[in-house]
Amino acid sequence: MPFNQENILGISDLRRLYEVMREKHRQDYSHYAATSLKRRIEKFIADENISFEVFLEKISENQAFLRSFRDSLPVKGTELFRDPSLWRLLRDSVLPSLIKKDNLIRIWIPDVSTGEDLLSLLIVLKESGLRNSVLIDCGYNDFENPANNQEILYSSSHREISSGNYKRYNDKSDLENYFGETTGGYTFSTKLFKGISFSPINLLRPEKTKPLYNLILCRNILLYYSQQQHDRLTTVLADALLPEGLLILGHYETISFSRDAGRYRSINETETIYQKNMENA
Amino acid sequence: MRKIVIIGGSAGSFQIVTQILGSLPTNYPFPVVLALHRLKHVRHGFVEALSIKSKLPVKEPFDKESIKAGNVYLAPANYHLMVDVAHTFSLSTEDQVQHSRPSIDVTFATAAFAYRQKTIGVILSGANRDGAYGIKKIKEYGGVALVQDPETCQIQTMTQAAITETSVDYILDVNGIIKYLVEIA
Repeated sequence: MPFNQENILGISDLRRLYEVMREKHRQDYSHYAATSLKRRIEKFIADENISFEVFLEKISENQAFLRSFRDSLPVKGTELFRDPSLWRLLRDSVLPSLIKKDNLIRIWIPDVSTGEDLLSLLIVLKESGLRNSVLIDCGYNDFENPANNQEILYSSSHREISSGNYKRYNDKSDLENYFGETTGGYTFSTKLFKGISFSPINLLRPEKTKPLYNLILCRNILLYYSQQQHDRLTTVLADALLPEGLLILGHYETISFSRDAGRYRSINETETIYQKNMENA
Repeated sequence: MRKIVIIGGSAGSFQIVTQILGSLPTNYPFPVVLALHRLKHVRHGFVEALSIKSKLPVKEPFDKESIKAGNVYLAPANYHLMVDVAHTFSLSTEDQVQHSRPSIDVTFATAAFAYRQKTIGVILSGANRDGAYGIKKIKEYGGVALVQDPETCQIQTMTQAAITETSVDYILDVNGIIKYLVEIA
């Protein structure tokens, strides 16, 4: 994807977009991380080959256009088994010890995005024989429920990277075993989604959840939200965890800048694993 | 507003980067950001290796971390490193740019937008065209563009692309780059 776009937006342009989204569609886009949002909008406008003025007009009035714009915003995952060392740690220690303690554990993936972390988790569970000890809930930020698709399609380069990651996770097997071939890529059958509960979530307006979860996987999601939204989201995540439940973020995400940082302690800095403190009810 | 120094290169420019870091004085008054192509699976060792000669602390920033003078920030493996208008960093797992993540273009262009004429961009030896667009953006916003003299580069693709793309301010050997960065302080 070329970065070479000449249609650079200013800060005042972004503000005008926030205003349109707020007034016409009741969405507060200032909750997104501005720098990466700006880049994605610039790319969208460049691909549409229109001016910013026309863009603003169209997102105000044209529902189909608005939808294609909103569909273009979520950042797609790029690989399965991203950070193989984390998946090894989950397999060898984190999951077994959670299950040993509670027999049946509940995991939440608040934004399943393009499914990479969910699929990686399912493969880990299947290979370790732990699938029946785990309930999984997933939120989807996009418009379509991922469970409605028969399969997920990934590109060939995605396949190459993911297979390389998997080798680093488990060199005795092959990720290829899980995939079907198709023209220009590979597919993952969603049959493995059996028993997973998917529900829509809007991370711009997250709702408070009951403390249900032993583990939350929320990697490289907070990156795309503002600091203010970080505060809200870390509160929602903390509320959703059982006492001593675990939160796993991306390697360069931290809760230490967030309002609710004090509700967690870091238990593994290398793999960015936080544990929720015991709290008085 | 203070200046910011952004250095881009590929893994092969490691020795030059260490030489630059070793020559910047303690209490250097600007932040130094390194956007270097690196292996995606190797997270550890790079910061440590750069720290050996550097008088300034070297770190990989967290997402949303504030940018502070006198620190050297290295773009983490497998993430784009962006500079925000609020003078914080944002990280991103978005698609590769110029076959690279971290991409020099992404760091340079966002820094140019955030720091305008206070941006100093340096392109070192490297093997692809990444950085050429970024250095152009730095010039467009009134910043300063330095490029390592291709004659002194192991691989000339990156520096040559930058020079072809934009009329840069200085084409210097490593000692010239160091002299410039020290004298603006």
